[in-house]
Amino acid sequence: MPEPLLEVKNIQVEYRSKDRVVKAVRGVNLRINKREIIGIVGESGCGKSTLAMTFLKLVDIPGKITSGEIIYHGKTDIDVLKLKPSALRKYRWKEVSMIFQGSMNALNPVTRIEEQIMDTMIEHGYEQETAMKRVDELLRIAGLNPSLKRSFPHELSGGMKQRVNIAISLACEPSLVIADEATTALDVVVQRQIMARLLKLRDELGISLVFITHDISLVANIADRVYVMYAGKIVENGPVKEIFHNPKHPYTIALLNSIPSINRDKKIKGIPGTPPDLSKPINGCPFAPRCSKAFDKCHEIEPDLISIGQDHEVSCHLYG
Amino acid sequence: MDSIVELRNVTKIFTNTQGIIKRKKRTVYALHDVNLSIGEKEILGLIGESGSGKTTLGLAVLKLLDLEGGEILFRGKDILNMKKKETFRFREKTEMIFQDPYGSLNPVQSVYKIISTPYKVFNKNAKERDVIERVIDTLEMVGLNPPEQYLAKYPNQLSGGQRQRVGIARAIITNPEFLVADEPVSMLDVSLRADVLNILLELREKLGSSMLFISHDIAVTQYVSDRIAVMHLGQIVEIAESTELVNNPLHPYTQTLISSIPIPDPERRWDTSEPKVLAGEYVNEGKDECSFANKCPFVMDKCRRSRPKMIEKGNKHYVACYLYE
Ligand SMILES: Nc1ncnc2c1ncn2[C@@H]1O[C@H](COP(=O)(O)OP(=O)(O)O)[C@@H](O)[C@H]1O
Ligand SMILES: Nc1ncnc2c1ncn2[C@@H]1O[C@H](COP(=O)(O)OP(=O)(O)O)[C@@H](O)[C@H]1O
Ligand code: SF4
Ligand code: SF4
Ligand SMILES: [Mg+2]
Ligand SMILES: [Mg+2]
Repeated sequence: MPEPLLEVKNIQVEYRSKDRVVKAVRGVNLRINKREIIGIVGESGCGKSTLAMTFLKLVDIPGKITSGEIIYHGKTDIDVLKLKPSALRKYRWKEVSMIFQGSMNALNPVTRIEEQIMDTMIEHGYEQETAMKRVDELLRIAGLNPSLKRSFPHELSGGMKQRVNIAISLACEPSLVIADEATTALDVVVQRQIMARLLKLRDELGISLVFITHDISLVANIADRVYVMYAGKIVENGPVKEIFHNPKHPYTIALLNSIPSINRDKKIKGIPGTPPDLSKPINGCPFAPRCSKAFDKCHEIEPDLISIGQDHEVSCHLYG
Repeated sequence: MDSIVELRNVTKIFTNTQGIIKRKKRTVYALHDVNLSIGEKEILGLIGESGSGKTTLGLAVLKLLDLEGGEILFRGKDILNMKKKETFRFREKTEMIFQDPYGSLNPVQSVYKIISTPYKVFNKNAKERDVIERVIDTLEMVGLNPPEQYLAKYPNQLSGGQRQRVGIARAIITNPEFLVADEPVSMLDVSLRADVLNILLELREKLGSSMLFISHDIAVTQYVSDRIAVMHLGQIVEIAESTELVNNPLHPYTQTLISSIPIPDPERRWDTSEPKVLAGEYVNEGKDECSFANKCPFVMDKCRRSRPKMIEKGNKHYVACYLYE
């Protein structure tokens, strides 16, 4: 039986400004099991990054988590959103860490990478000496030659910097690493190398991974289970083979039909229109204006996520 | 095959000053002795990692750069030695579609103004009524319907996909015979890419234009291109018909590239082995050697002594690598 590591229950997030409220995440339930690789996909602006930030309680003003619960099953169960600042500091990086698309540019330009990796550990209570000893191993795990530890970030390529971030994300031995478009800006060969590294981490260290990306092909390659997000909600989730070979939600199907693949002589089709403005009220199914299968009910009632098979859920009136 | 554009031994060198303190000079051969031809009505894909020289090649064939060596022929005419009048004609017949649909449109110009300007440059005596009609036809061709609705809009009132279509409309209003599309979909959301790619394919059907399609995305490139050329550090290392290149890559670099593409099918996953390339970051400094020698797992002595020549391995499949000589 898979053991849950992180359980996300009915999370809602809003970004508030003077004249408008953006409902970026509108009630998401999600589960990450131990040693599992989860993919979260969807067009930009659908709330993927905001959702991921909630796993670390990183949502900041003007954002606000307005409801929901996140339970982390570590040595003890942790109610993440109720953590006090000091406990939260321990939770971040030691239990759950994150790599962003931009994090390769977030490295401190005037500090050697060795120190940056050590600083993360020392901040989290590691002894100076232990931290120093771990640097080589961390760089090796991330696929970098330890001799590079005296380098400054500008001496490294984008791919190498992103590997430094992998090393930092693993520095405090977390059980869960979240990668948000972590390889999006990199060349395919470098992406493949970094993915291979991350997959090995699951095998060797037994950690769980969450991949957030708009690149569905990438998710097919690495995820055990996939969540498809649209307009701040999960519209379909299931085992990776179900999502790719037996997709049910018209949005999932449209996404799969919009991407070219090498050696597939198939005409691809875009998805007409754009995702809804999340600062406006949504009536009915948020995908209805773009859905070729929409019928009357779709414009009036927003469908709930329902189970339609082993671990496979979909929110669409076609299956209600 | 008749070629519309031909590059002969083209070399482009950039000299940069590097480092704030040491100020060392760095010479980069962005194009190193490149030979390439693009056929009439052909879409030629150009792939390679960032920094390999794709954009430089695109700019060079449009006569937007000076060269350090070689020549570029457009329908047999040397584009670098054109007279003013010939240059004007050349500009009319060639166009560029840019990567960035946000940055490449003037924010204070209406869609009508943006699209009509190039047309007016080359049709000075056109009546305004004809220009409007022409703009409307062009908007229709790029799928902005109904076109009248878009004429008075400004770029900030359009979505990313609509802006990229305006960029394409601007490029095709003069019926160019040759287009360079430099990463035209890489800044668009996945859901919007397909339509833009299909528009480019339709254009070739309707206008018979040839195109150099530059991309780092091989699946996208195979979808639109007849042939694909692979670039590595300023050198073309392999050229073949698209399907052939993807199914039967010969050059070690192309092999690494193709095996790194994620396929959207969980039954055809990668294994956890890393691609076989040696680590390190290099630029082409103009040495007479294979551009892949520093990273190639099969490197031999001769790979560093001189550059391998491009040879045909049957089936119009060309490769430059000593493993095949
Ligand atoms: N700091 C912020 N302030 C206001 N709105 C934001 C902020 N961050 C994100 N949003 C909005 O929240 C929605 C979801 O964004 P995001 O979580 O970044 O989506 P994704 O990662 O899927 O692209 C979008 O409409 C976005 O504009
Ligand atoms: N204007 C320029 N000045 C100096 N160096 C340049 C310039 N344009 C490109 N380069 C260099 O030439 C090489 C090729 O660049 P580019 O053609 O942009 O590659 P690509 O489009 O394949 O990413 C790179 O090393 C780049 O740094
Ligand atoms: S609920 Fe209706 S509009 Fe929404 S995806 Fe299903 S069929 Fe389409
Ligand atoms: S010529 Fe030599 S170094 Fe270059 S790709 Fe072939 S084997 Fe490798
Ligand atoms: Mg995001
Ligand atoms: Mg470029």
